[in-house]
Amino acid sequence: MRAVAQSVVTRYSCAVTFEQHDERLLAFRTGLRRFLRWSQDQVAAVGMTPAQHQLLLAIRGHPQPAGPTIRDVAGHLLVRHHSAVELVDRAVAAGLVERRQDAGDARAVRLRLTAEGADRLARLTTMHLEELRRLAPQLEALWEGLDPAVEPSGPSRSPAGTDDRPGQER
Amino acid sequence: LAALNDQQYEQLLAFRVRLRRFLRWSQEQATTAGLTPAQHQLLLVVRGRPDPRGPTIGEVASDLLIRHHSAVQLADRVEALGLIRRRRGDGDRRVVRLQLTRTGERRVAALSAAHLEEIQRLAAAAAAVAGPDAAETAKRQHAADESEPGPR
Repeated sequence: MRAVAQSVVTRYSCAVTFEQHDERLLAFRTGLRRFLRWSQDQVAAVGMTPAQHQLLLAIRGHPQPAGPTIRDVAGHLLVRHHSAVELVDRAVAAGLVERRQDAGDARAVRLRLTAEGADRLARLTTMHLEELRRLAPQLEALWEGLDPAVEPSGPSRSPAGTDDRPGQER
Repeated sequence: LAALNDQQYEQLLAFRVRLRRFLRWSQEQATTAGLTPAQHQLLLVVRGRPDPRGPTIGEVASDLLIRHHSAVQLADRVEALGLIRRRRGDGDRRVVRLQLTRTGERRVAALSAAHLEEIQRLAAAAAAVAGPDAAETAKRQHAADESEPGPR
């Protein structure tokens, strides 16, 4: 079956390529689902929700050393402002995050991790980087030998938007 | 525990933001095509499984990380939409396999075309986090661990 398909590749490369693409798309999505499930399990094991984990990462991974504002965090998490506020409230109550007045702008509140939050995030991040080192080559390998790969850049329809469900990735 | 630097957190955040955007975007594509995201993923399993006879319900459940009875219900709904059909296996009559109808075929092909571009970008983003820098760091870390035995 496959051999036949291969032999007509030159004449019907488009159709065959799409069939291969679908196998790879499926492998890719299955890989993503397993990664996200694995991530949820790791996060639960340290007593946090996936949304809390993503909040801590959004705070620690924010490029400004002063820390992000609520608005910044809402942007990273793709959630609405009020959802970000509630998520931060719960993380503050859990002793993982603290609010601080901005040194320059007294009206602005910036978020920082507590020592406990930083510690839990560090453990999770080490595991996640290891897992991604395993996963990334597999994901990339899915495209090897495939036909005219689409240009990796090109902004045409980049996904974007906001969401009201903190950390709900599936 | 190896110390992590700011850049590693930033890259990991960038990857997760990208992943969220991709999943959101994918959901919107499915919705625009008149499907729920779960229905779209079911069609992708039926289309993407290499066995030309189509996947069993068990294989669908395994790929989608859902329970068997949830996969049955999902297949029921997609069959009612006229996008897949159930076929008894030629070899084993007890095994039911799922196949796309013409309509289902067209629907999933249109979605896949749009997804290819985005998924290649996402793979590149994952590679950036785990990329040469990360691999180098891991290698150095490994070498350091070996030269200085002790608890990590």
